[in-house]
Amino acid sequence: MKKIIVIALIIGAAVTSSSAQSSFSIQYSIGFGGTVNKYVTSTSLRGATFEYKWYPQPNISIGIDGGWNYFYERRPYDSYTSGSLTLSGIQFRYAHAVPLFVTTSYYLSPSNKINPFVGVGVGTMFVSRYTDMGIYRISEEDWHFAMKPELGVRVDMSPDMDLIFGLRYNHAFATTDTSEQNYMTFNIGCVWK
Amino acid sequence: MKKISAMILLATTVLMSCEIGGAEYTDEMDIVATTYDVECDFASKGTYSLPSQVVKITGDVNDPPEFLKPIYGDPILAQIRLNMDALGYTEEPISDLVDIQVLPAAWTSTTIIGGYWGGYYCWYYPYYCGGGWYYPYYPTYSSYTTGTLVINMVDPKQESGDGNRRLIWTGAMNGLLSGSYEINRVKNGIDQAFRQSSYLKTN
Repeated sequence: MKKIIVIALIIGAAVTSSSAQSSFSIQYSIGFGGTVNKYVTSTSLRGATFEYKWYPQPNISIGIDGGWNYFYERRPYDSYTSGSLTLSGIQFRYAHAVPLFVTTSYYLSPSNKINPFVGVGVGTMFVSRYTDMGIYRISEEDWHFAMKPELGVRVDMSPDMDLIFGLRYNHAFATTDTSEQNYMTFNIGCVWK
Repeated sequence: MKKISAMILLATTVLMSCEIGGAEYTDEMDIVATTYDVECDFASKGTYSLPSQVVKITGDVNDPPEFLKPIYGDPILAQIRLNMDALGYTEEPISDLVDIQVLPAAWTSTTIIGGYWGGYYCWYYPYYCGGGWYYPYYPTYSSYTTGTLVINMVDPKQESGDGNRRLIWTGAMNGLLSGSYEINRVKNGIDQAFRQSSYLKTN
């Protein structure tokens, strides 16, 4: 984790000291699939991503991004049995995921109006999952080492703004206490450059 | 200016991702738990006894026992009786000769959330309150009260390792109490406890 932060700071300092262009992006993020979506089976319609990118070359960016996705599900009244114990009630399940990445992206057509791109990110992801049943809560949370591949497209709308559409796969590796967590997001937002 | 406005608008939209969900009604917090002695052969049992009152747990077993008022206790006993009879058991007077002794007990517990209760402020600092000066920042607080009903079944003819009578089944119902006593929630909980314990059926 410390290494990632140091590398990010070095890259950031190197890039910002040059004359590279930069951009800032805010995206609405829909979360679905993966292990997180097995725990909470409803699609997450509440999420956001923020990105800051530098462009040492027109077709390459280096950046940082962070975001979160919130999954929630109300499971109907049911019984759950383990051994000789049976517990009945309504379950309220929640999952929060906060990915933080150092990223790099490659743009296929930076001079065109439609500009597809692919990217990867390495960093960390905080995942908190909990189930409320009655007044009781079973929870699990941890910081994970994480990475993400991403593909998307930017649409040039004006000299200082693009629309962005992206599909990401956020994967958080298992820790000593918690299992691996992953989910996908579809992002849509604006890029100010 | 347009750029900043657009950023604020989009940021506001995505920042609406605050947490939602959870129980809206108190009965959504009701849970029922049951457990049993897997070595107990319930099918071979046929009789049970039920006390005439429900014990109210007050915290100290050395104190004289308290009981729920009949208006609360009687419907609980009636619902237990209904379910036991439906499973094929026959009620008999309380004695050690019955196969199963049913022992219901209930208690409530109140939890205060949010630090100390503002109402105690004058007790902490009478100087302020006595001088006519009003402390404006009373911390807010909330509280919740839960009610629990536990039904134990013991086999009076057998002892457990600790010398007590052998516990063969426990059903526990826990829920958030609202302002009024809702007997239907309690009855539903009792029914559910028996429903999810089909192994209790006797021949």
